[in-house]
Amino acid sequence: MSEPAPFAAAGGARAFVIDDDDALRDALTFLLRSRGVAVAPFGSAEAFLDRFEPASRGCILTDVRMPGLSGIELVDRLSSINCRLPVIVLTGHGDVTMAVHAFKNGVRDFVEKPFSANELVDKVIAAIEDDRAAALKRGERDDFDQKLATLSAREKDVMRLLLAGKLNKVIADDLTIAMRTVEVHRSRIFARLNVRSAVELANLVSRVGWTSSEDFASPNRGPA
Amino acid sequence: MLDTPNAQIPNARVATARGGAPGLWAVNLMPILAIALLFSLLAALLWIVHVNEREQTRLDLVRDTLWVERALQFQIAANGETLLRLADELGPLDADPARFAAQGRQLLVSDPAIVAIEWRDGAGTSKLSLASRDGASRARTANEETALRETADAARRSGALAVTSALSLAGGAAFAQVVPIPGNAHEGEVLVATISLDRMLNQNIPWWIAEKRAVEIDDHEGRVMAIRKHDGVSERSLRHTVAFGERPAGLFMTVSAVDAPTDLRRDGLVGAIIVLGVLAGGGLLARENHLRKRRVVEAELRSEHAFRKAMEDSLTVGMRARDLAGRVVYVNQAFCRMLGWTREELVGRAPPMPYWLPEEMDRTIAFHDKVMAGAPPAEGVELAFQRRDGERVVALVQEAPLIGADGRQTGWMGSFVDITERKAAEALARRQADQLEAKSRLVLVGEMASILAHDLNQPLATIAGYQAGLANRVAEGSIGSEEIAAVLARLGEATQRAGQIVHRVRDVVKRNEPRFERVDIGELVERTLNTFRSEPQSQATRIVLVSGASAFVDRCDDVLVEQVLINLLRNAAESMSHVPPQNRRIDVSVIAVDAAVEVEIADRGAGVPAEMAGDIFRPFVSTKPSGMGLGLTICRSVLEAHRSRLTCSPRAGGGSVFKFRLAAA
Repeated sequence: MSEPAPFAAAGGARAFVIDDDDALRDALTFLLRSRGVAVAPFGSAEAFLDRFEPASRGCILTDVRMPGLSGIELVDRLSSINCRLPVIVLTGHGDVTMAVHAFKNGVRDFVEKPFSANELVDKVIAAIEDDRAAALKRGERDDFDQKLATLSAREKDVMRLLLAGKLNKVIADDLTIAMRTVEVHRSRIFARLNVRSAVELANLVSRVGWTSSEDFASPNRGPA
Repeated sequence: MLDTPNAQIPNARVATARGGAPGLWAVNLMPILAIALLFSLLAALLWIVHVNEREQTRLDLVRDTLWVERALQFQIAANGETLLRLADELGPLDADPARFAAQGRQLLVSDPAIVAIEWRDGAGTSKLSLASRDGASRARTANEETALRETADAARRSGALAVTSALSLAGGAAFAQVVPIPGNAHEGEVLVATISLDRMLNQNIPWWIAEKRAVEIDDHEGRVMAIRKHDGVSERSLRHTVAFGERPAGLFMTVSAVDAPTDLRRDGLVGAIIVLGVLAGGGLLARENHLRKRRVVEAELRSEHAFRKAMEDSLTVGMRARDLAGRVVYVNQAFCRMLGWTREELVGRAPPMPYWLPEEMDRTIAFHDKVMAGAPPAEGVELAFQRRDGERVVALVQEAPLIGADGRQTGWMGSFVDITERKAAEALARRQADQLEAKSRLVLVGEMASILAHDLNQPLATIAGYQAGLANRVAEGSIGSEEIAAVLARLGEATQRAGQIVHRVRDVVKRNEPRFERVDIGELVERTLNTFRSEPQSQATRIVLVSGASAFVDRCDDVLVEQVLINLLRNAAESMSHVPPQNRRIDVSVIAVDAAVEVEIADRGAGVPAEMAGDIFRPFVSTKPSGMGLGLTICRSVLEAHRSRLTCSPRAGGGSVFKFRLAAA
């Protein structure tokens, strides 16, 4: 076995281990902790959902066969409460095909038992990393959306034309306003969105995944 | 000899019967003609005899008549002579009445026919009259008297005897003889003798005539004057009549023949001939009747035969008759169709028959021998044969003794029902059932394996988790011995859990423990071979029971051992799928060896590759492309439960030998 790289749990990210088998759950907990992954073990899907907070970060590692809510039902429930945590499903022998068909989406990976222990840990760590990156991206977009909401309708029109690469003069003609007015709008937009040039504005928009055709009415919309 | 219904014979029979009908008619008519002819000849003969006889009788009658007539005439003449002599004696003498009376009486006595003698004078007056004692005399009628006088006159004139015509007397008809008495002294005197015709007849007809003739004297008017009767004479009797001559005149004598008495011998003979004729005729009639019935029966028989032939030809069941030596004496159309050989080619052939299948030869011969020994299996036997074109035919063969008309067995009649298609359908169904069963077994095994795998997965995953975690921590050096001990304890628990699962599986298996009984392995093997022969895999494989000893084993689950045998036989048959059919042969032997029974199944198949020899009894190892690799494993388990061991060794000359030994006690 290779030397396990210590994984520093950032921002309270944890692996939520859900398994009805006490021994296996304990073994998984012990295994993940041995690689420095913070673990929150749960004996059933219901127990996990009770304690779930939208702000929770990390990943879910769940068994597919459980009394009460099964792994399949858990994933369905997660999408309905808008939980974006990546899910890794542990399957038994012969369950993989069934599981792949049953989970329409929302599952990051399937791991068949018996598994190679440290590979599983690697997958869990990768999932937690991805979740953290996705959360960061989601934070930037939220910030952008908030700033965008402070712009007036006219300023948004000007910004859309700016992003289309048009010069001030052309924008003034299109909107039948004075060239001077366009310049004022433009400096207000840059100030609000905290950019210094049209190039920076284009980069920001592309990073948060905003498109000029987007409906401004839904600022909380997630990334595609 | 067996009555062999042959196609040609009935046709020929019909032709003869039709074409020969007129001939038969003539043949039938001939005896009738002969009988008729015989009868006519007999009748002619009888008639001729009869005519001859009648002629003879008539001649006899005529002779007798003439004889009687002459005899009577002689007597009358003699009487006349006597009378004349008497007259002569009276003439010269004085007419001495006493002397006359004496002589007259003597005459009356000597001839009873003379009823009276009278001496008359010339005037016709009676001088002396003598009458016989019983002779009744009466007064003559005037006519008679006149006739008498005339006669007397005639006698006087002639001086000789004169005779009256018939006279009537009280005692019957009579006539008178008159003679003149010569001498002057008796001028005109006459002697008159009255003679009764009746008495004359009675007196003068001898017995030999009287016994067979009736004699009657009639006058010219047909009045009966006198009669000597005979009871045997009837109206129809032969008669002959002659005129009685001049003395007395006007009389006719008729002699009738007595009807010939029945000639017993001749009548008996004729009767016998008639009886013979009647018998012959009756016989002919009976024969004709019989023939007619026979023809009716023959016609019925012909239609019956035609019916049977049509039935026989429409049969789909093949029929084949053999004599006691096994030679074919009859086959029907269905049989020929079934096997592709013609009737001419098969009839008369002795075994081995051309349609016997080489790889089935042993069984076919065994069955043949059994039938010839008089013990055909009642339920029949399924045998495979070879058509002439090489195609295989499976038939259900049943043999029954053929009993001749005399009640003795003349051979065997076998029926062959073609069950090839049924067999093929059965084989297909069985194959599908087998496949289905194999598939379901596979699914079942898969399911069991899945449950087992899932149940084992949990502890295994747990163990893997602890092990990897422990390794991580130990490598990091961040774990104390107490924590290590705790983790190791949990590892132990997980291991124990896995062990329990294995135990549970073993418990399930234990529920199917074998049930042991005392079993005859020889019989079990034979039964199993019969079962296996009906399996599709066994087709075209000869299975030979080399030595089927009856050998009892005390501890044996026959169902399981049969499964083992079937498994081994299947493997053997499948291993020879690439071998040419004539070389496909499985030798099975059951040998009793020192308190054990050894069963050996030897094939000529591909054998077991040397590198797999040690593995074939392990589960999921198979030399067959589609094998699951469980057959031999199961066989081995079953035999281990019987405290036996399945061994496999290469066979000299190619193939494998599977062997196991079951302890007798």
